[in-house]
Amino acid sequence: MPPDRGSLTLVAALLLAHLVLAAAAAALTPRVGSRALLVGALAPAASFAWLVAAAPDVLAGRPRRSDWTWAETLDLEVPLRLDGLSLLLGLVVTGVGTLVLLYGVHYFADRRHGMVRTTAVLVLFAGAMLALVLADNVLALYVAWELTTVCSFLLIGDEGRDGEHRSAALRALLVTTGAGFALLLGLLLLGDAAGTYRLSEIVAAPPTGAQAATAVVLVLVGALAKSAQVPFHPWLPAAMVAPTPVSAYLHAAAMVKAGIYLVARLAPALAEVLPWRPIVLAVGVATMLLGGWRALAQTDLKRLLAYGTIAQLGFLLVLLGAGTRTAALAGAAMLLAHAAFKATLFLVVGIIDHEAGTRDLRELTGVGRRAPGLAVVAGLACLSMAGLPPTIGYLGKEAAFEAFVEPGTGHGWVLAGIVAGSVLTVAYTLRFLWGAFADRPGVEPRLERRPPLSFVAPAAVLGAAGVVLGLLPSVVDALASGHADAYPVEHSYHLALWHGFSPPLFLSLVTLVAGAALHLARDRVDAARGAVPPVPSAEGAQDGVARGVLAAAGGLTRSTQVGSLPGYLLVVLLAVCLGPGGVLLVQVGLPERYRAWDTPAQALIGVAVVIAVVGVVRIHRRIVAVLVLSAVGYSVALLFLLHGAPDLALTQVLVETVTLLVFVLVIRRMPAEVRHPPEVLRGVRAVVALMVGALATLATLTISARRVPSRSTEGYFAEAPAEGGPNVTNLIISEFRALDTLGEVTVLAIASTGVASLVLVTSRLRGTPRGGHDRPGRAEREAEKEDAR
Amino acid sequence: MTDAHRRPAAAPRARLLPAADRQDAGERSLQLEVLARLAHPSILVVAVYLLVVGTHHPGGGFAAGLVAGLGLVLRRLAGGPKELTAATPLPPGLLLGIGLLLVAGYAGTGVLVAGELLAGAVWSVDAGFLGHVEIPSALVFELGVALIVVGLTLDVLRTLGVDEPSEEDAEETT
Repeated sequence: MPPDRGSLTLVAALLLAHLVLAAAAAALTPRVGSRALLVGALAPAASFAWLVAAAPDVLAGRPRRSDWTWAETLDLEVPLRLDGLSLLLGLVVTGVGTLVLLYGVHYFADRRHGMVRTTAVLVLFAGAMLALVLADNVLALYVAWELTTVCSFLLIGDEGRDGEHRSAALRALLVTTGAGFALLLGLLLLGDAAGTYRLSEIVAAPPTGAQAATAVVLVLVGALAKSAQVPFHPWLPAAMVAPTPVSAYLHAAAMVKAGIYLVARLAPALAEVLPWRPIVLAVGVATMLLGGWRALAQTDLKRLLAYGTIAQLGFLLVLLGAGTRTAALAGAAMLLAHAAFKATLFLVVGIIDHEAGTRDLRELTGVGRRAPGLAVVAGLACLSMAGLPPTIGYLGKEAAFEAFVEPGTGHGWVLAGIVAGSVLTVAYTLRFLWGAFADRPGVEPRLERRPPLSFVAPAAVLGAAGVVLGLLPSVVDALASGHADAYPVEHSYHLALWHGFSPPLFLSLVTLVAGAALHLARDRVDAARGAVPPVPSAEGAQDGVARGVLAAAGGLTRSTQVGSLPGYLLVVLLAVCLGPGGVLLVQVGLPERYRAWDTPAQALIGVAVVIAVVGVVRIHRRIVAVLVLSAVGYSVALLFLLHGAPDLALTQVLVETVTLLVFVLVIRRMPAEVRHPPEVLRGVRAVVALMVGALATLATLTISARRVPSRSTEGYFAEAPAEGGPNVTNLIISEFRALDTLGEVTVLAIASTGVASLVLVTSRLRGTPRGGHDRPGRAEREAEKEDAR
Repeated sequence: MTDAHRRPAAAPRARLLPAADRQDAGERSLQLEVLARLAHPSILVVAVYLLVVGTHHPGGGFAAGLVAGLGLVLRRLAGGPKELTAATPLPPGLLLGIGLLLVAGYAGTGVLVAGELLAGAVWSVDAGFLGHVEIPSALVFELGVALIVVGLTLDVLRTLGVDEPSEEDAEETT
């Protein structure tokens, strides 16, 4: 299919709009406060509208495509592709994004601190996430993937207000980027095995063999960590320190779905590659059970939802990774359902937290009576979460049971797992409702007023969406089929509210009854939990790894960084002699013919240099040694001049002069006489010095022994007049090889800043005030103060 | 650097270098101060000459930067760390930044204007009695290089001077 130029500019404009509006919203924040988020919300809202407009075409099997090649010779391109799965995720990302930003207007209204950054990063994240689901190149996908990680880090960390924020942000960053490296490696292997880095082409012609298997494991590691699967999950509950809009958007609806998205994207192609199914199904079921079980133990409503999210992500992983059509259909419906109900519930908790000042269920009472509207909204979402008709959650769960009632390897075990997981889901859904809205005798009611309508509205829209979509099963079926049609049709299942008296209906009833029973018996469950001996936690293991890495790095540093400058020099010089020097000697060898000198003047200068060098070694007074050493440098400049290279000579003289003066500045504060090291060390140094000298001599001889004029030299002379003048040496620096110069001066600037910073920092640590440019400023201010007195 | 108002009115005002009198009297050298005072403007002129003349004669941005840097070294030697601060209009970080900006901006402008990184042009100007002058656009690039070299020299000088507690520092800490 040819790239569609029209939609290319539109998508590019939409992605760019996120960037521009993020900056605009951030700029507006100091003036209008959180209302700047309204401006930011325009970007995801416009993208949502575009996706809705494109939906009929895409669902009819005509994906939108656009290519942007930015380095043709390197084969680097950013192709974007909108197919059924991208559409599904895109609608979630932009739809929930718009509502969460609108909600943020109210949530952040009385917050002054760090709002500029939060606003900008939230909008940026929406753009990065949209880019992630549209990217059709694995490297572009990876870049967008890590952009979302960075946004998540910044939003969790929240200016690093306290240790909890910092450690949570760091945990999320370490786990997801650490696994992100595995993902990158996996994607590269995958692209290499498939011969293309186009996602759609990899899926169309999937690679097989050992390399594909390795790639599968690596990609899965990255995807599972991003989607908080066992054993990577602890970062997600920790991330709940972030503001609620962030939790609702990044850590429930959008970012954590990135891993699920990638699994769903690759499953049609790679589900048959061996380690895929065992890993995906086992990890998914384990995550679902662990998340559900932990959710039942939480008293913080937000953490309860976080563990619920982990459980649901496990469920989604099973469904979208299983590699069958019915499971994919169920997964796509559950994905929509989860984004809607979990975001709703997070927003509800945010409202309760904001209005009542707590989200601990032991301190909440009477919320249901004082804010009945809020309870209704939460109730709608909970219907969907527990999988009751007529909600989209029900459609998804029925299809999920059906998918594993169908015969298949290991389907029995998986079915048992997801039924048990669904029982836990029903139980923690009830726990949430009970915890948030029930009356507790003896507890002071904290909610003083009914939350304003504009605050509840975004949550209400999302909550209602779950039911409305449930009442329109054909719409959901069309959307979900957009993804499920990637699989061959074996069982033509369709999403519907009524499938007759079938096994899934029976299983649904079982989960509801068992879940309710589990909730009613919560005291006994808690007692049983207390009786279970503590097991090693994934959190502890991760901390252990982090500590181990730090300790190993510390040990390595202590054993290699001995703190002796001559020692480092010795190592560096020895490495130069043995490495490049050895290669030069072995591969090139000694030049066969050479002339001693062209003019007698050169010989004279040579003698002067030798005398000076011998002098440097023998002189004990530092200042004299340095002066004699510079005589060597000036002599070399003379040699350049004799060779007809005035540019080189000029530079050599200048550099030598600067070096000499700097030396003088330093040496003034050192002992006048050189202290001699022990004999053995002196011997070692002498040997290394002689080796370096021999290497330099050898290199000079071989390089200058080349007598064929290089081809580029002729080109330089031919081009020089057009470039401004006859001085070819200088033109090489500023024109012909200007890119080299650009790199060199950049390195120079960085090195200079780095060295200066290091020296100034250490001197400040020692308590010496820095002698830099800020000093007179301070002194002047103090002088003014004195004058005023 | 205007710090004249900070000194008692009775102190002698005539100074060769703005901040040279803020170092120990024992460390001062009149000859060096006079030399620095007289030579520094000329050194800067030489630096500018080297910068401009690069396309036709030995010189160029690197050499120009080094020469300008040498002028600063001279001021530092003659007048101490405070004099170095007084002699530089901008902090070294800013010089490095401006230099990098010029160099990278020149590279980028080439992409925008001629579609090629670092593309340059030469303008011929009839400058009246000066005659025919050719101005290569690479002069901007050279200026950037020169500024970076000056910034580097300044960084080196200021970090080397950092260990010497001056008279005023001693006053402040006591």
